[in-house]
Amino acid sequence: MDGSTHSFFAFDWYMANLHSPDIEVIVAHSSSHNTTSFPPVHTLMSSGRDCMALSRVDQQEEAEVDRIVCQIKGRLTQAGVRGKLLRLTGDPGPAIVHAGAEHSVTCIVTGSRGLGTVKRALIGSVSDYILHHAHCPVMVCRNRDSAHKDRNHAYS
Amino acid sequence: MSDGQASPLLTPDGAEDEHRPVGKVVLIAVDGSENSFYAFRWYLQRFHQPGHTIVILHCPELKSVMKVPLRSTDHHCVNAMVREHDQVVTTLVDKIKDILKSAKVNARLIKQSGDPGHVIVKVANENKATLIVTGSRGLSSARRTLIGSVSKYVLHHAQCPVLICRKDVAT
Repeated sequence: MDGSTHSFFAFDWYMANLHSPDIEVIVAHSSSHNTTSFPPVHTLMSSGRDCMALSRVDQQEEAEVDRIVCQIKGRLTQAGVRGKLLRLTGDPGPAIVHAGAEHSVTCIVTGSRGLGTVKRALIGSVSDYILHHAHCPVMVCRNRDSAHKDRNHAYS
Repeated sequence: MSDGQASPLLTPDGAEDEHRPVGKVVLIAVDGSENSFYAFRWYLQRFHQPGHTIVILHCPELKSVMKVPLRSTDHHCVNAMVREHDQVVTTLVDKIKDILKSAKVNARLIKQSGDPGHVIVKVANENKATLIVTGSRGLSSARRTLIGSVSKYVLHHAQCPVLICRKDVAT
């Protein structure tokens, strides 16, 4: 779950339609997709002010991640689910596939798209990566609204 | 074979049940490939719940059966191929019934010809499916792709979640 509405939809859908109490749910959060943009690298080391800017960006990103993690934890608690939350680093696709293999998961549930900026793709790059590389079945959760928006984007 | 014909509910003992199924509809696309049967069995073992209504969709592609040029007048040859195809479908239905019997589960079987991707999405919409279950690849001879064209089409056009089961990386 990256904190996008798509990821929360996937979680809620899974809970409503497939979950049973004997299933342990592992939620993986990767914070690599975010809306904060970094300043160009060549300006980072030129002055003390730019280092301060980077530090502020880091703090903002960390605060955003904490906010999303709190939201996810709240949703897990509310659902009364037996499970855990993993915070992953690095490229989300490979990180999720690796975590899935490490924990020998039965199935990976993903939204059709997350926070990525390419909106014209019918399926997000992370979900696409997971589909092609996962070591288990993958559930891609599309809802009616996202399906309509995707088609409008694709044909516009 | 008639298009869009829904068979009555299949019960494990083969008896027919005319009552309309209720509850969440799970559409399972079975084309006869090992991948599709793997996906079917996997869903039954891992995620099936009593409240789910299973609809099994078989979409035979007749163009794969007709191996002679269309202008051929040898009706014996064409008839033989159609008979062979019908036999394949009968075998497939029997295999589905066996799996349902082992799992002690009912299901509705739909046979509809046409482009499989379009048909799967259309039938899912008509039945207001909650979930579509499909293998990653079907009977196509192209082995280079990890996910077949039908599964890809369904993934991109379905209006509900899609479960893609890859047999080659079975857990």
